[in-house]
Amino acid sequence: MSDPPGAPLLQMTGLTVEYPVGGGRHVHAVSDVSLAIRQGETLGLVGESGSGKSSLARALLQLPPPKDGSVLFDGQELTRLRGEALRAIRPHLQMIFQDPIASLNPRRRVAEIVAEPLIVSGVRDAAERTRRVRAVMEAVGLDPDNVWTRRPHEFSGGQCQRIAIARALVLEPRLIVCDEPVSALDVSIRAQILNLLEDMKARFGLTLLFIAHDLAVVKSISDRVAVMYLGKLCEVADSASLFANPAHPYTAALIAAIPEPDPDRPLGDTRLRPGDPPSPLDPPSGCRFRTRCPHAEPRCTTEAPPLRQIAPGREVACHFPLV
Amino acid sequence: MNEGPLLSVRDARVSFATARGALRAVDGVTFDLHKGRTLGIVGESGSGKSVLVRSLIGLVGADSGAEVGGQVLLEGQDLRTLPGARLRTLLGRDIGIVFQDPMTSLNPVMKIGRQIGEGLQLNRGLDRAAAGRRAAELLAEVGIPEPERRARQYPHELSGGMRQRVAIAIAIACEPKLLIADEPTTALDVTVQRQILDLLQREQRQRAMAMILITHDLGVAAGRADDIMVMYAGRAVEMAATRALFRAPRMPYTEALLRSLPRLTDVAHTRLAAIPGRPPDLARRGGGCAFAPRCRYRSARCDAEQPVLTRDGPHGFACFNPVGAGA
Repeated sequence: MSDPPGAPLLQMTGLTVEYPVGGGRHVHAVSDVSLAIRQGETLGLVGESGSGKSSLARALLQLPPPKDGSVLFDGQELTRLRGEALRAIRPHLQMIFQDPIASLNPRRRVAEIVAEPLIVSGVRDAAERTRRVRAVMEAVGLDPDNVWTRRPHEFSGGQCQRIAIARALVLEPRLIVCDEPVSALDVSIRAQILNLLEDMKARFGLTLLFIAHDLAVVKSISDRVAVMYLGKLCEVADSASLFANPAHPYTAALIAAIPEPDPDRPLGDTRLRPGDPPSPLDPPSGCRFRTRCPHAEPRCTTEAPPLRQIAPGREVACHFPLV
Repeated sequence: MNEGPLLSVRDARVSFATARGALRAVDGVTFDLHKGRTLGIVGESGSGKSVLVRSLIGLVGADSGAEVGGQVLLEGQDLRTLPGARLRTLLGRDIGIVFQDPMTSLNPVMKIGRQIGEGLQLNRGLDRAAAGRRAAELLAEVGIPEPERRARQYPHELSGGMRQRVAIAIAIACEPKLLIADEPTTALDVTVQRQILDLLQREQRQRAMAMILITHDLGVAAGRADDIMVMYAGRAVEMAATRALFRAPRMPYTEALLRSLPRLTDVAHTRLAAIPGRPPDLARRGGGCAFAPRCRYRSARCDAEQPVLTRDGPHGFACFNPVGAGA
């Protein structure tokens, strides 16, 4: 079991991300999200496409900075940092992407790829770099002598994801944002990479933000889970309570929709109103989930429900929570 | 079951010539599919599941540089020996297909009503007006609101879930006997995936179609298929009724795959039973069982000899050391 959760390592407050799409219109990717990532935890971030989960992750790494809101990392306000000051903090914040092959430079050798963050952050001693690259390769299960001079195309997706994890770890960061890190991998490889992330977290004392749409994967790896829908948080809770007793109707629908690998388990009832998610270009008034919600009432159209605490460690943004 | 199978596949083979030699993408697959049944074909990327099914209907063949072999009988008629024009008539009329990505399978410059009606005019002899009316009915049937208005729209005006509904409407328009769904929900979100799978299952039952559901997701197959065929490195390695496959898998690969999945019933941070290694390079296959290097039950024979699919009652598996044999 994990240690009791610590103090916030990263605190987002009122985070807002919008993208212009021409004609004076904007995609409301992330709207006024406040969320803490605690020291030493794995926070799962769940949502469907267009929910804003990847936009949120990039905004907190200042890639690019958000339109509005605050990102406090270890006492420093990241949104106000520029140039050298921002570069100085980057080694503490790393990212792993969904497509491991596309995220590695195809023309570089594996040793160069893993060493690059060290060069960028000013480790000038070549022997020191070699030592650290070898150590991190061994930690992620790559044989340095075997992979050193090879290039990414010679490796499978799972091996490339190991290389990407080595590159993220080499600076010994404090927080790693994992954006769908196993979604592009074959089923028989996923468990290897999930176990590796758990091992690395324990070994290097990492804090993880783990973004995924596969709820079984998220439950497996997360201490707490945050659910997003159309740029807003629906619910934040510890993993066990969220899956046992979802408070937000959208969380309940997501859980019911999971196709479980068990033919004797009856298919759950999502109770969703028919239809697809609305566009983040023009989100519904009030509660953004109301157009699909089985419990929607007139109040949901006029009044956006704020995220509020319903029990210790449990927050939900719904006028009529299920628990 | 007195009736013969609707589809009978015997020793299907597909190989591609590559710079490194012949790549056997599908290596001797045999199965039967009866009317009204759903067969789930499960496998990882490179297992040959999509190539197999595409080769059955001539979408992978000499044109794409592939060498195909074996027999594919639809109601006794061998599709492999059918002239191209006859085969094209069968596709769309007797066989409907739904692909993974509706954005690439739909024609982007044709209104969706026309795309649905095209097959009806061609195969059912409807005139344009009648085909248009039927297209709107089909759109309503697959759950698209305001079908008359939607019929006049283009694919890009619809969401991903809506586009997949249109693709299903096209596939079922001519009342096919066989519906092939190749990863139909992989590109969709989980709540939309659920709606599309419900729709496919409802149509399959109402029309008593046979369905082949290709998926990498064991959860999708568990909930929707009557029977499942598991593929690995181009071969069918296990074939069984869905419940038997999940309750008592015989092939060590299937067992290992099921054990490696994170489960909602497990507490957080439960160690996953990962499968070591990775799938083999098909162009460099040795003579033994393709799964042997990753298998916990491996014996000397597994490296020397390729196991063939053998049957224990209705349950088929290709393994010398099957799970539960009480060795």
